[in-house]
Amino acid sequence: MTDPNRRSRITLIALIAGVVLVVVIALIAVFTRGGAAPLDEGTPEGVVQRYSQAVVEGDPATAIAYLVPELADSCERVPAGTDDLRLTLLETTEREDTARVRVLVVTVYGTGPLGSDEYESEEAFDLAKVDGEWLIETAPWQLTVCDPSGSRK
Amino acid sequence: MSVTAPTSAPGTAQSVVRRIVVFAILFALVIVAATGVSGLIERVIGAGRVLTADDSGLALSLAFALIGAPLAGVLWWWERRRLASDPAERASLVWSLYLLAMTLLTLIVAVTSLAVALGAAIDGEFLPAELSTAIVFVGVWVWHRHMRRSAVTAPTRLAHAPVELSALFGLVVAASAAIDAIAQPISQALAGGSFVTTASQYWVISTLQALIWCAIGVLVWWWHWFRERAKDAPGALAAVLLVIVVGAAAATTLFAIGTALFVVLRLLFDTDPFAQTVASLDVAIAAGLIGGIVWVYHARILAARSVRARRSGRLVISAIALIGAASGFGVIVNALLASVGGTLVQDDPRTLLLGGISALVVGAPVWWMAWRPAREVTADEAADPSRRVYLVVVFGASAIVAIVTLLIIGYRLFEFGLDGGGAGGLIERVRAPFGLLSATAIVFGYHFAIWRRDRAVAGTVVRRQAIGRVFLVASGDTGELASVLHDETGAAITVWRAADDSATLGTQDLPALLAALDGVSAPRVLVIAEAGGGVRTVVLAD
Repeated sequence: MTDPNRRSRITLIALIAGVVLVVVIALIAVFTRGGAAPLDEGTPEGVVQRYSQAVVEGDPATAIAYLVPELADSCERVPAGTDDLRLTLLETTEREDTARVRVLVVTVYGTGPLGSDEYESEEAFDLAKVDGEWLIETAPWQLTVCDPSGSRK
Repeated sequence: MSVTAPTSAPGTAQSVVRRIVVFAILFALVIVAATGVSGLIERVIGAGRVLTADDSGLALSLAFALIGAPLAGVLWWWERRRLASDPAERASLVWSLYLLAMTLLTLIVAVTSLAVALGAAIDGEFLPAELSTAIVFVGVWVWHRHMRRSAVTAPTRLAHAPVELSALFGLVVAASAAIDAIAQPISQALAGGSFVTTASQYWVISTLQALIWCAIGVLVWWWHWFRERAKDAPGALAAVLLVIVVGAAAATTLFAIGTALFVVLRLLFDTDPFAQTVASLDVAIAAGLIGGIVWVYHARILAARSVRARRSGRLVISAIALIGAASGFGVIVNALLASVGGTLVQDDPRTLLLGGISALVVGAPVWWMAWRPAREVTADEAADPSRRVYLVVVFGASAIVAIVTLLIIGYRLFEFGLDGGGAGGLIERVRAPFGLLSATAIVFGYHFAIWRRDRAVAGTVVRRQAIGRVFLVASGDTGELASVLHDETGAAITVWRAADDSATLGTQDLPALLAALDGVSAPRVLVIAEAGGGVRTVVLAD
């Protein structure tokens, strides 16, 4: 075999080995991962996580339990969305009685072999401390359970 | 590539402009007259169904038919005399383009209206407008077919192009309608086999309508492909169209197989509901079947063509499979990053990963078979221009993807550095472009190694193309000779048609021509056919 042929073959073998390695790592990582790590329920982001998880899993009763009483008591339900959502925590700003949790919401509306169709947006939850517990005052529209305008009537 | 210059008559610019004006007006008049006549026919066959008469529409149809048709007739009568008396008129590119445009336009309008009218008839509706349009445009098409074939008016340039493109149109209509017709019963079967419910009548009708489109498409394709011999048409356009059809059919088939595999993997390893998972399976199965048939059939035709066409077809399939495999790898990297990012709420990155694996599993073996990376490359093959072009295209595409993804990643990094926010947010935002970038890096790395190897291997091959362009001065039909001469010498060929009819050259003169050009190395060479046979070559100065 000539030298240039040998060199290009080594490159090919190295690249195939790299691809196979990445595929194996991805398979292990994706199939063995145990879901998002739960955060402390006493923190604003912990409340946001539990609320959002409940909304995504289609459990509005649990989700409403994390809303402030003025919203939860006169809840006017909004229709549930069907798109898959991914939430990533960006930042939490905590003050004495209020907090804001900024998140990145990725909405997946289609899948195929060449990747998924998705769009992302930055959203924020506003929370208030009621009797020492953090509760949600406003949620992004993708994760809204109770119509915020309905409760003000 | 051969370029045939039209026979020059005195005042060439004037006659070119005159032809453009005449054929543009003729084109408009024929369409106006056809629209008017079809409007009148619509009123005749639709009589008795009209609820409110529309006089201005009738006036328009009358004006179009009674003014457009006689004017078109007179203009054609005048132009036909020119075509019959002046060979330069028939050799004009404008005349060929007029026939090409008119043939394709009337065919497309006729097929579309006929399919819509018949489809509506199945559903119990009568559409006189579509039916009359179909009747009139079939008539105009037949008339122009006669122009293309009559000895008096047949064009001498691009003679096969209308037939080849019509066959392509028929194939596209037939294949897409067949996919639709097969997908609908599969979709019904997947939905639970409710074949005989009241609602099922709807899908039966739309399947029948798709079958009508398919039948008309098959008829158009069969007529042009076999009866009008587009299958055996010579020339570069036929080879290019064949390679395009093979590439498009391969892309459809591979994407369909990838989608079907994706559905199967999701059924096995994913948690989504059955109906959602199999939603795309109907079209995937149908497209895989039809695409596969079209691919295999045309690949067999391509196998009988020139070495160059075969190599191009192989490279096109290699490129398509490479795109699939590389995208799949990018999606896998994307899924890997999605599983490590610190998220609050996750959808399942399994779906993403399974998609990437399907694309990689389908794309990689096909790429391997088309590109055959394991075999030794000969010096001649390494110097092959189409292989060089392929590598340059791969580099160009890699560069574009790399630039775009790097810009996005850089933007996200700076945004993160300036604004803060969680590191999870950064991974979440760059995972898709990073996946594409890593796939591009692998593609670029491999092809760069191939490029260097090819240069080393091909360094010993002498450049075959010693002549830049040959000006061939001869009379008679030199089209085939020019194409063979181009294949043999690699030079571009320009034919200047001689007025002297005795100075003809054909393919039988090829050995003499090649002998005359042997050893000649120049950017431009003039080759003149002698009246008594034989050729004279004149090497032109730079």
